[in-house]
Amino acid sequence: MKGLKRMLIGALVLVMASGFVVAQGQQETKYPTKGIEVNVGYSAGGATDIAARLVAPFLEKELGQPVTVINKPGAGGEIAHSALAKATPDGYYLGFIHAPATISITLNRNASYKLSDFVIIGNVIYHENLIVATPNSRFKTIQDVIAEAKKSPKSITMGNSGAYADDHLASLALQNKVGIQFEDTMFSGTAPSLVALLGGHIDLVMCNVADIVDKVRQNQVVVLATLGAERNPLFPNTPTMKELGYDVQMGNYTTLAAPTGTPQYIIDKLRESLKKVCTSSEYIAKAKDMGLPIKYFSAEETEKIYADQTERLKKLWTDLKLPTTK
Amino acid sequence: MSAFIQGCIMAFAPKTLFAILIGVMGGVIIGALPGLSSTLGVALLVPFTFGLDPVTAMGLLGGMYCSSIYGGSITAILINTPGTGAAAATVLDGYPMAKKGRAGKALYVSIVSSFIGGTFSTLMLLFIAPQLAKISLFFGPPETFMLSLFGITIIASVSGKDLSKGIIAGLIGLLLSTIGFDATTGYPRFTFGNINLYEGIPLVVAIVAFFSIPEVLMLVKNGSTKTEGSQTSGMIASDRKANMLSLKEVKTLIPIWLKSAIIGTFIGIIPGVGTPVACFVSYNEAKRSSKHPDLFGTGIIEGVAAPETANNAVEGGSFVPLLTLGIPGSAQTAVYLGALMILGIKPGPELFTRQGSLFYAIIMGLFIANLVMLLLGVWGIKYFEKLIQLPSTIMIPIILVFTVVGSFAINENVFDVFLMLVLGIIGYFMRLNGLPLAATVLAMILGPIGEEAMIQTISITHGQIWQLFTRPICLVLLVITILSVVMTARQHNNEKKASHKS
Repeated sequence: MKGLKRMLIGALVLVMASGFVVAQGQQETKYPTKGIEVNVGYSAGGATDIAARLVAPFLEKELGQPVTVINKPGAGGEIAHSALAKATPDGYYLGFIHAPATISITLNRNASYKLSDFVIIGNVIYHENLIVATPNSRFKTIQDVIAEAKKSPKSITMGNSGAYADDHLASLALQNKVGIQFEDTMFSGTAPSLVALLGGHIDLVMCNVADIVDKVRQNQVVVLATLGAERNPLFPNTPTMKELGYDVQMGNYTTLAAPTGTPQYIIDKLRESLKKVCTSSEYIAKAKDMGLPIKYFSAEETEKIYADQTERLKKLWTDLKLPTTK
Repeated sequence: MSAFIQGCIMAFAPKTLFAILIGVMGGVIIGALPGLSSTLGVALLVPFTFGLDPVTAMGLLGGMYCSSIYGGSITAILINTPGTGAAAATVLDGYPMAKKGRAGKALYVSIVSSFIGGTFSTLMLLFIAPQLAKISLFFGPPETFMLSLFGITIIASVSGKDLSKGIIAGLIGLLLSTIGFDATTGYPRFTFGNINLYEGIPLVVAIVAFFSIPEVLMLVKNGSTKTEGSQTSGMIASDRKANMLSLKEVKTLIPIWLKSAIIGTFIGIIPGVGTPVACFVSYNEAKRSSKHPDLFGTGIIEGVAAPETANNAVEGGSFVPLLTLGIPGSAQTAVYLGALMILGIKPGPELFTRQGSLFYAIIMGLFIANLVMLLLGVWGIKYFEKLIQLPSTIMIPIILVFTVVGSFAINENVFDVFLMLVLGIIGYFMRLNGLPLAATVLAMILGPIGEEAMIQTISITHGQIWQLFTRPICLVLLVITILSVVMTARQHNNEKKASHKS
């Protein structure tokens, strides 16, 4: 009798346990079961924010759960990045990281995150840096600029969007490669630097493609050179620095990432969904309407880009002895 | 001309009018809640503009923009808690008016002035936007630097009787404004390694900490069971007519409205200077030209009219670089640019030539938004002023909730709440010692603008900063600054002599 009871209990436990295992197995393959948050390290209305808000509804449709964009501005993106690094790696808290900004912060100071805290899902935005002047500038070509800079170093003022932000780094990399010196003038953001350029207060501005596409079309500014790997189809007549013999490439990447430790099946699902979103014609058409420089790179490609950028930036930091508070 | 008529027709379409109404109503609430700025309000609405046609969408956003600037004055006047940086100067006379039981009147002056400022600057936008855009381009870093230097002299006019205490308070503000990234080197300064301080002290945190918390602590200390305003609340509630402006008052206000509207529009077109500066400059000008400057700060209508006209005038001005050059001059218009991008509108010189009707429709939308704001604001006064009829045992917790929620809301960062509380307690002790906190706030507004412009000036003049004086606008601003300092010194001397004699 006792033995039977024991056996019954044993059987019950076994059944319950197996049920539990099955349930857990089901849970494992089912993602997402609730809303997903995506953090952005800049204020609402900025370029990254707009990009995030473009991707979110498409990703939502693909995943079948709400995707909410949350803004965590501050410390040049570091607050958002460190929140992402510390988040529970369950696939419900994602964020956007950037090259070079997310990398350069770790070189510039004792950052509260490491690059290894992030798993890349895919790249959403890429646009290369370029050098612009006004149509009535004394510089008509990039050769004019280089010649003048060689003749009198530091005489040319070059506006950028802030100290050691991507535009400033692009300018520094260019000067380093060509062997010239500009007077780098810092502004807080690209907009005020462009106003200063249009007003004739500075000679040149280093910025990115999306900042000036419309201004080129309306003949407010002209592009002297791009820092892309090849000529940009938007400006077919503008040379790249590379083809002029100076291999300096710099651009701005915006990449969706998850915290390290997120289960692989979730990462796979997210990578697959993002790829579907970024290659859908509806998404591409909408981005084009908005003038967003979308450029999808798969996780493997993006990982390679980040590794390569990290090497380049590390070299720049040691070459130019750039400041570090570490 | 046909483009103009077409634009008007687009703006007066029922769904556009409805969108404007929604935008204005939302804006008053967003503006009144501390921490929810007009920038955030517009940003929150942007997702709702997906799928709307451009004119309706811009009506919604325009309504939100102009009324959220007005909304900030409601809490500034009633509970000494400016909802936005734009309302910081409004507390100087608005709250004393409320304390005297004239909250209704202050709100009335505020809404009328906001309407006048907004309408004036929209008119300027309509008629001379391209010319104004050219002026905005004359303003390079050296001019901005000189303007902020002039702004510093305004400390004298918000200092009350004791100028030396005003200067001390101002210097404390300047020191606090150096916290955060150094603009040239990217080094974090005075942050104690805390990343939450990298971007400096957020303006709303400073304003709430220095205006609201000391006031709350004073209310607690004085142990009054009712706010002073409520003692006369019976009078305000019954005597609606007293809120209306008499002909004599209108006469004194007309020059202030006009000057503040011009100052606001002008500062609005200069990129990167911003609304709070325009308000303080207008307040200073109203006080300077007044026959009774010593009454400013005690709760007079001129002190409310000047900043409230200016802050809404900034809005039209700030649209000038956005719509004509395609470059946003402020955080609000940067969000606007984002919204325009989403709608597929490309602002810039082409907006006038190719999409003229759309340009006029956007501007007509702003006119309508200002009108709706006026009607809604006047109607709402009797409800808003009920707030201060509450006994202080209820008021104090409400203000505290506002301050905490507001500090959290700007960056959704709990650190900011603690920062606000610490600064608030410091502010309380400063106030006990008679240091004018408005001077501290003003210095915190101007510090970063001036520092950045100075560094840029040094950079673009290659270190030869004396080149400043070869620029005409700089020279004019320099003369105004010197005059302002000399006049303040003389005035204080005269007052001292007068007090010695008596």
